[in-house]
Amino acid sequence: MAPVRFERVHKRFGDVVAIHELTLDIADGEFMVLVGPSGSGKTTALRLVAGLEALSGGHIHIGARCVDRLPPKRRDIAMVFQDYALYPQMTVYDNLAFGLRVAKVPRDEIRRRVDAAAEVLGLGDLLRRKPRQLSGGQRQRVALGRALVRQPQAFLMDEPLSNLDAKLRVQTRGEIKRLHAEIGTTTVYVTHDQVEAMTMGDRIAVMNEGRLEQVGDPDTVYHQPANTFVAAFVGSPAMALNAVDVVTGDGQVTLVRDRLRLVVARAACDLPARAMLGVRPEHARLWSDDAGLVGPVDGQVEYVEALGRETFIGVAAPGGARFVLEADGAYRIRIGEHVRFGFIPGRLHVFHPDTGAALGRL
Amino acid sequence: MTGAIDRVLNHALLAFFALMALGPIAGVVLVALHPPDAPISGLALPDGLDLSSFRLAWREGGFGHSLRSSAIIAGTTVLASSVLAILAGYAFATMRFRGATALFYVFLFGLLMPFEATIIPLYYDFRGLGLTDTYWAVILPSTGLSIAFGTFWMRAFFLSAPRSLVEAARIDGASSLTVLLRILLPFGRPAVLTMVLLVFMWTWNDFLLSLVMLSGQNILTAPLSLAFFQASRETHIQLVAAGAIIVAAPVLAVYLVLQRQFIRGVVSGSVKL
Repeated sequence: MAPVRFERVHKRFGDVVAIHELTLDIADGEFMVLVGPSGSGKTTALRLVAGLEALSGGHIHIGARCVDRLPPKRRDIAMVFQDYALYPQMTVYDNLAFGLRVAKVPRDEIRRRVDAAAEVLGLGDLLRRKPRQLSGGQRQRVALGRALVRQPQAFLMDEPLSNLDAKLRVQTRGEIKRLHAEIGTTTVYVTHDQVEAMTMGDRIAVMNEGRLEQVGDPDTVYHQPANTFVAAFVGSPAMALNAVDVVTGDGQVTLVRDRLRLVVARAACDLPARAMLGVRPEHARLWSDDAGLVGPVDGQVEYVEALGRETFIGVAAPGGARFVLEADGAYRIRIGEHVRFGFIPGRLHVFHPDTGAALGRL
Repeated sequence: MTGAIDRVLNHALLAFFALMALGPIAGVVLVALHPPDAPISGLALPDGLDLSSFRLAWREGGFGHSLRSSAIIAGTTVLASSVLAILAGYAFATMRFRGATALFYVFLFGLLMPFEATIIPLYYDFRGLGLTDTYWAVILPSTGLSIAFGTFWMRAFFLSAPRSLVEAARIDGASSLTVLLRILLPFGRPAVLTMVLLVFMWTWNDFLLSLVMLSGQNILTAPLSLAFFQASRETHIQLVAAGAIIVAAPVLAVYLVLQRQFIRGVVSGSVKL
């Protein structure tokens, strides 16, 4: 086990900058999730740690060692690939044992470790099978097992769940978390799925176009997004972002967009004359006079997503502003209907209109 | 309705071409099954299963000797060119080195160059080295020829193999050679066997190179001996047909053996696509 450190890491492919000055410290035993849309550089970052790509600039440390020039096999890491990359002609046992045999680990020790990994992952009955005789979920577990037996300094996982169906994904998510809790090996986990990131990571590093947008624990990233990109990327349905004019009066601030006017208590921070207003669905509620909401706002229903436990209602508000409301249970409302709603005070995010940087909450 | 007509037309067309391809072969087999002294005209059915023409052709044509020579030449060529082509193709596909592209074009040039254009200079080169009329005179040029194709072929296979397999093995600590021997070659058995089959077939069936390089006194390849046999027994058509079948049989045998391997070697499911 060891910490992993990116120090001003830079990676170019020809003229394309894949990673721009990435500095990130991953603590010993931490589960760090790199999350971002495709092309954000998250997989490249992982491949740089593995040594499958060469750095264009900066340094990567695993433990006390600078691994910039070490080949993959000398970095003491194990990787789980998106397509599993199981060796097709070998049995599950041989797949698990391959790395240990190459490292000339004694036969008894190999058997002990493979059996232990098979036990943990429930692969005991499958050891004699070939990969093509396994289901997707089983292959996935073999891929995990192959990483496990190596007892490496760090696990690198590249979207390991993306080929599984939804139910199996949730189950395996829990399994990987449990494994991490048991073994405690530093893990760098890449995903484009923000739900996976939120549920699995000790901390999340949100990446976009080769830059690190924010790093923090899931709670912080969700409730205090550093900018509009993180705000819109993390959370489902996404945070509604609308440009508003800011009118600051005594003791209060009014956010204006056409006929939309929201009067809130004055913030501690200075606000520019225009800003981006961000509201998460759970903080936009149907209007009720005694709920102490900011509003009311009148709008028209654009779409309804009834999920059973809650219902998300997409609303068009004055001035072309759009919000998503969350209602409890299966709330019955039709598209085109008029709806009155408000916002929970203290939960309105304000971002700079040009840079997108978070300015505070109102 | 159109579906049914389509099917009938398709089958008719396929049957026609199958007949075109198999007809002459059937003719040769039927002729060869006649006894050596039977009068033959056209496509005649033999009275029974008579192998006496084969026996006579084998004895008079000296095919035992020439088949052995061809086996030595084809076997060595297949072995040498496969090993070299696999290594070269692996390097071109997975390693980055200076001049790789230029070097690959040199290999490609070997594929594009008509072999007939080189054979006369080759003859003089080999005569200068004192190698004409030896096995090497056929093995070395055949190997050179086959490497061009083999490298091209294996490079294409290695490029198409899932990159993550190689990367997983590298992270597991495997050296380049281990990756090749333990991961890629078992995975790519169909590709290797196809190459082996093609190279074997080309080398075995070669006529021009052995005709030029061999005097016919010490070493005779099977197609050469067939040509000489045909020249001497032109009127005995059933003997010539039997000789042709004897010479073609090993290629057919190798094909049938490898064909079964192909099916067994088909791999799937290692990588989810």
